[in-house]
Amino acid sequence: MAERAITEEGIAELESRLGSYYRSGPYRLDVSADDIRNNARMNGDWNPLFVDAAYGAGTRYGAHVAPPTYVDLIKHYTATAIGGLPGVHAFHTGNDVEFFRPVRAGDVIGPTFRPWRVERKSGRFAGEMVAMDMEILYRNQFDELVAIAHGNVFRVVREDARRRAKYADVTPAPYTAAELERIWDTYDHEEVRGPEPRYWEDVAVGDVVGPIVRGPLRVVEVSFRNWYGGGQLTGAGGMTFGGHYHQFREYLDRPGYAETDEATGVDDHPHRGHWEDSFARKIGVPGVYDIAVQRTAWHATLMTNWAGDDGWLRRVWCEFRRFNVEGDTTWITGKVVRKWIEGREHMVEIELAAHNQRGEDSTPGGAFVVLPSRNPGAYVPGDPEARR
Amino acid sequence: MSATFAPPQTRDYPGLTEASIAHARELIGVPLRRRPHYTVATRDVLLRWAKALGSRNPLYADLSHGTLHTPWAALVAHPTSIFGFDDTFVAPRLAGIHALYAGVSIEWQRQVRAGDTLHADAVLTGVEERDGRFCGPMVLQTGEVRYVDGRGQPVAVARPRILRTPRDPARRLGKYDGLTRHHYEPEEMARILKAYEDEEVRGDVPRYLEDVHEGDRLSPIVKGPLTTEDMNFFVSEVSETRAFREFIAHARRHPADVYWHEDKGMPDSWDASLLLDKVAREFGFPCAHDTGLQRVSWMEMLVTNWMGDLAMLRKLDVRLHAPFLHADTAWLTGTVTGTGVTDRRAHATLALDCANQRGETVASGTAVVELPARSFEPLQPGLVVA
Repeated sequence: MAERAITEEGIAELESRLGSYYRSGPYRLDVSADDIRNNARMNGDWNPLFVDAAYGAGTRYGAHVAPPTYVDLIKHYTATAIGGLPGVHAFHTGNDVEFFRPVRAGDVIGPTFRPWRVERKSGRFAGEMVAMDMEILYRNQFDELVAIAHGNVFRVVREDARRRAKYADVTPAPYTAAELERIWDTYDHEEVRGPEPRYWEDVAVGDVVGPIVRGPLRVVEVSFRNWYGGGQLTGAGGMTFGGHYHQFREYLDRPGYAETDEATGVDDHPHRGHWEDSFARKIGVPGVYDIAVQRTAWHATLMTNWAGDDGWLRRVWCEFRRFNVEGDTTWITGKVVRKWIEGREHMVEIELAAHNQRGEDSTPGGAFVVLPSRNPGAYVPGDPEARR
Repeated sequence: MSATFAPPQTRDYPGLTEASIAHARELIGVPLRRRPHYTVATRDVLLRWAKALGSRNPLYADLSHGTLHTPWAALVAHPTSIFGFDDTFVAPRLAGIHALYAGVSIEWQRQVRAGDTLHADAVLTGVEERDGRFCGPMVLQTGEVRYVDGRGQPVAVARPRILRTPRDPARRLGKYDGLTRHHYEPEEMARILKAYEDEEVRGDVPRYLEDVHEGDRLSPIVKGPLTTEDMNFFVSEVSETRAFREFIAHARRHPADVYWHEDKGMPDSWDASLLLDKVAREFGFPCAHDTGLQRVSWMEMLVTNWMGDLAMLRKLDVRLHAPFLHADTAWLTGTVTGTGVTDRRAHATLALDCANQRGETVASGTAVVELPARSFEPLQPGLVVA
């Protein structure tokens, strides 16, 4: 029977692998137009640049390009692929992703990842924990660096998490008609800048960005997005390898990984708190909870909505401070906090927040955006010579 | 959007009326708007379908086998992967009336290979009034979905059957109320795992017409116990699930088709019943269940496992007889009912059965497979002649 605890040996084993490179197969062999469209759609992104395969040809990219956070579908940018500590659950706690080049339909992206940090911690949620970071490098078929992603997780013993559940007393009231109207209204007013350039010169520190809204969150939006919205929860790369035979074979090959369904006696996915309410509560979460990279994508969507076809999201970072559960609605907002010029790039920094209907900021973060400028020497996205 | 979109005052779902049935009949023959999940059969799409089915057949699951060792000279698609290009749910109108997949008849004209583009057109072909123990009066909608390739050449034709079943009578009649998720003892699971290990794939050993005889039994396959993982894999391959803004916009345009969570006061889509018990119970199923398409795909796997790399599945006809619930297990068996050569095509016909862990038939069907022959008369399977 596998040890389901955080042990000195388990931590030492992880630490011994710092500095090791791993190249796993990408979750996708080809970047296809269908995948780009579905990735955008399942995150609620309706920007024609991403969902309309014909649109990109008329932009500076000259091609159908993917949302910047698409690279998560090549290799999920959390840290669970590092493995170790069998039976000890992993909660995704944050991301920091930099984007250097567009991903176009037809590209081939190859990922490499390595452990970045292993650290003991403790917290109110689940007592003793281990924090782990992972770095993923994504390159294209020309060996050009496309993106670098950091994913952070906390490793927590499941039973401990439940005992110390600080969320156990959260019982939300149903939405009122007025609250629903407020949500529909925000959907109706969501703007995509699109072809009209947002010049750096016209942006001021203090400018407000958004809001955009996502919710009320449904289980199918978490569950049936598996291959598209990001977060390769089911599939290759350390999760399960497929349905039926593939799944049971993997559970047999990885003792301690599966979690048996008590009602049926059948092994099922150990992360099914992402779609099964009773399992979520068993590990101390007050309902089905989202795959956190969705919120990284929402921050990115607000930025790409705002930046327009001629802007470029250079970096997005965030911390997952609260779970986002079934029924939650999230408003993503931003504020310009800094402007500067770096080489040819006209940059702005946006402070980002993700407030739910309880007023909690579940996902504080920020982004760097490169904007077009009236300066004729400014960097424009898709320009192969454009680097710092 | 004008009217307020909020939970309705009552939970009574619409019933069938003469007017609503006539309204549905108006669409017969009219091209329908579809939401294809895929437009191109990339290698990823085909490999994922094999994973979703739990398939290990190298022709469909291995990147190089079909390309290097078969006349198809490519990674070949499982025949039922066409569902990713149109899910064959042809059930327009009758808003607020539940829709249950009841079966489909599919004919294939061509193999699908990695790189192919597929487009489907769909029409409603019939609206018939029926009656049954599940919900009393119901309606059977039949359809026709035509899949063509990038050259406009026919690839397959599917003729689905969808039952429209009013929710309130189904709940009142409670036909399936006694069913629950099955609990498996270790010995039962061991038997299932052994069946997975014993599964046979004919693969690169040709199954010649001359060696196939009426009464031959297909090597059986097992699928299950059905888990949430299985649901996620499969539905993610066939469904153009609406999310966030797209879902809310659709729900506000079609409020009669919305499921409302009473505890949360939030709208949802009915496909949530594929995961959530409480949504399933709303229309008379005891708990979360399969899509129906899964059993059709498993029947296909039973046949493609048997037929070998050189053969081609020409026809598959499946009828669904009962719900298939989470934790159910399907035992699929088949028998050869005849062989012959017609218009230079060598073929075998098969009778197929799908029983659950209680021994009840949950699906049955027939298939026609084009086989290679030792005799020089018949054509090679799949070869298109003018």
